[in-house]
Amino acid sequence: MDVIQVDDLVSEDSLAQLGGGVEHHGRGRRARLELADGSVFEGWSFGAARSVAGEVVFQTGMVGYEQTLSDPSYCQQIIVFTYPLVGNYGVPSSTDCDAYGLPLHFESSRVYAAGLVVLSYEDAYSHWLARQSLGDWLEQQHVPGICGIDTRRLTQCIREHGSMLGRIVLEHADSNSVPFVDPNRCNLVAEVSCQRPYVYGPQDARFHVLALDCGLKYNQLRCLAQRQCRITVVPWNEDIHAEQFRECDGLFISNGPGDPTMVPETIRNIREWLARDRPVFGICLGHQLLALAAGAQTYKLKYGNRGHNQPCC
Amino acid sequence: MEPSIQAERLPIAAFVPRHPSFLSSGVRSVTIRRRLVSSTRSSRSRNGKSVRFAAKGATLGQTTFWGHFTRSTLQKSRSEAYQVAARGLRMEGVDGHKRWMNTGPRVPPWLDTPAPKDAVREFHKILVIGSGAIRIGQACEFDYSGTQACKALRSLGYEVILVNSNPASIMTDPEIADRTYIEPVTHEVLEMIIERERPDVLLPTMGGQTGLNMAMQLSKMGILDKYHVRLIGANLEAIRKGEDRLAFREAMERIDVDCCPSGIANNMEEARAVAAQIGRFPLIIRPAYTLGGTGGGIAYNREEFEEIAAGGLEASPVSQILVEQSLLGWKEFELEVVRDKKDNVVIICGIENVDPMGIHTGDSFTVAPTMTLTDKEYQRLRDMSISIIREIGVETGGSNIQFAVCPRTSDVIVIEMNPRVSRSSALASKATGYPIAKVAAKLATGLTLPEIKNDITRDTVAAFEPSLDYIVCKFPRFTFEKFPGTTDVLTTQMKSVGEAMSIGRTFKESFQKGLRSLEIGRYGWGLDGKDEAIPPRAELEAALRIPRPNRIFRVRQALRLGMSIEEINELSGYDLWFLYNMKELAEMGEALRSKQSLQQVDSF
Repeated sequence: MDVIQVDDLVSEDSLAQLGGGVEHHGRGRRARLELADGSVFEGWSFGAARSVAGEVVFQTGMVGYEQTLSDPSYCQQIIVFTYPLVGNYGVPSSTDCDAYGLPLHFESSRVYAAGLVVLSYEDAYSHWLARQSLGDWLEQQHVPGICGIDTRRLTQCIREHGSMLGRIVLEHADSNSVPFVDPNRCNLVAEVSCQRPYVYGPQDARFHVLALDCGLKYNQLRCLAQRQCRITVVPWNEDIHAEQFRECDGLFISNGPGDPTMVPETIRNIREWLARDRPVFGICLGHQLLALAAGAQTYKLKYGNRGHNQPCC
Repeated sequence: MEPSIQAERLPIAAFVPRHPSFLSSGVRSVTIRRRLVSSTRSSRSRNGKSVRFAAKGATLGQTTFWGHFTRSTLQKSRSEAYQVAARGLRMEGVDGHKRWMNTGPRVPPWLDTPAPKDAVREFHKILVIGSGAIRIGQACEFDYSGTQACKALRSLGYEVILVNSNPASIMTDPEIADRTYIEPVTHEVLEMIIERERPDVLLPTMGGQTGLNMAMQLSKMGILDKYHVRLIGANLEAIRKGEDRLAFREAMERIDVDCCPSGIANNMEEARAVAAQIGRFPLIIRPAYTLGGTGGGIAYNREEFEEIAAGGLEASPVSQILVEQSLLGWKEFELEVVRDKKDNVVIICGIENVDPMGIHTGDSFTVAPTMTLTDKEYQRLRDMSISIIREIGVETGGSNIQFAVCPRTSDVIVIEMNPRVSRSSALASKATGYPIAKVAAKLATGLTLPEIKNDITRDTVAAFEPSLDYIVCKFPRFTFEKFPGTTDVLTTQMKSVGEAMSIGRTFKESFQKGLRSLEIGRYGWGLDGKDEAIPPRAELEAALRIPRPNRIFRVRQALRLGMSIEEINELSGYDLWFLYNMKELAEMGEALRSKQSLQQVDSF
């Protein structure tokens, strides 16, 4: 006699039924997530109704989807949230700004992730600061989402195979219309970096920091400003040894997307800065660039650590 | 008749049968009796070789296996067999005896973490104060955490002396501590035990509030100094700051965390000054020294305030009232925090109370992780928790911190903090898989978070904060029918006698599973053929406003009656997000009800 596994009883469809997408979107448009290894996950579309390709990565944070989606580090990546409910508190206003003029609730000016994969998209939100639902925001930002996906199984897949290329394809759309793209082969930093320098923070600050924008998050500027720093933010390929940056007290290299070896000119610039023995620190990609400038090697992890629970002891 | 052995009356030693003579060959089963052990059971395995000893705790109904070994073992070595029974090791399988024969003396099989080197050890013998009697408000959660702690300490090689007044608990099982005293947890008895055992340190944080109170008392009476016993896990200053309202308020002011604004007034002028200082309505007026709060009330505006405050001053025999800001309708959150001696702090879990402020957290329907907090709000609570645990001075171990968050402004007020393992930490442990009590006990010995392995994930350490991919619900279980004459209205005093916890991939799934597990005869949130008739609207509104055990089912009735979720939110204080989810469940229920056959449901 066949043994019926509990897993068999909970089919993907019944899981999807649990997701909010069913009810809210009038059992809306179906969509599928295709991975480069051939596996396909069926679900429902929310947000922008378009197909998209990118690198599929998972993120383990339990709050903060609006910050995650607007983080430039996720440029051209399709984010899988391991936390099953996304959208609970809606999306706040993008016009609420801090004392120095940067949006309070987001990490950059737009959504950088290519797509969003969740188990249950919560269209009905509740928060006094919310101005729109997550789906509406994604639609406005032309970013597609897909819900009703068994994200636990998907995450196990990614953990086993490593980060994979994938695409979200709408129902009736031809898969070949969205070829797989490997974001790590292009210079993503150039895509997300600011175009021209700008200044942030109090005028009468104790320190003046030069920030290399490789995909900077607004909160990094805020943290520096809280510590009495005035920050001059410059594009990734700016000549940081120019005359006007002479009086800067130190160099900060931001986080960012993609492979650090794609930006040799930035590495060269940092190497020169290091040679002059001036203060410097980097976060994430900035740290990797710093390592490369110091003569170390970098390699890509099988699957990166994306989430909020990395201990720092 | 089976031979029976009566454990010696304490306080001599633990429940260990003293003589191996009962294991005469040919004996098929042996009954080991303890006080309050109501029934015993023995069984033979199918091949007839294996004998299993068992004793059943009378009150808890939990079965404890005292030993399990083959008859050949019995015949081969009585003393070895006796050792197994005495140690009470859990053995499964016919080859069980091999496992215990390979372990060294006094080393339980759950030994995992290498003990610190003897050279760095500051102490060896630990006195643990246990959970005490099971009663409303302090139930077997403390038994659970205390058991975890004792096991952890023994696995590190420490000698654990346990004092617990409750013999019907797991922690008093013979394998849990090296010696167990089943005696009333009072300072007289504790002094006797300290005098006899001469422990190096006292761990008071595992036995709920009783443990902390005892530690305070022993210290005040100079007993700890007299016998050179040091406190670990919490220090006296931290206990005092956590308990003493004024000291806590002062500590919070130092780190810029808001407490519920309040003030004491002896006349109307002072009352007005306090009200002006708080600066917003509604205000709660509580007269001093009156029974059941007579003369107090909630004032929503100036006129009401004048009236109620005057009435309150009159009602109070000492003409004194406490005026405080009302937090009615504010959302309630709890954070479980763990700190080590090197000042690393991790947040284990955020718990959201679906029932708003005003109901004891033990009586609230709660969910984990938090559902309706934004990242910024959560980070704020997180940052505050870290500064609170540092300011209060909990050097090592877990704390539980409760916050109220205003749903309209995101203002945060800290309600209280417990510098010990609490009921919520037992829930958080089960919800996240992070053994808080076990880790806290290891931290108390001086280990740090990065040095402790996480048994669940195996490849991470205790410094990692758990990240969930599921939703946990906890429902309280009430038995008001067993307490005739008591009112079933829920207040800030805990009245529930138990709880059910459920795990699901969505809130809806977890919600339904939890209700189903409560054993109140319901198969979930309605539609189980047990739905009561919908009462008239006025009655329903009152039932939603006044928290009673069955309030969650009233929400469904209200929805079926056609009330909007905004109205229900206004009346009950349940956050709209939870109500949206419940509404979807109700709608799905109605849609299913309209189907005539399973085929129709399939095409649904």
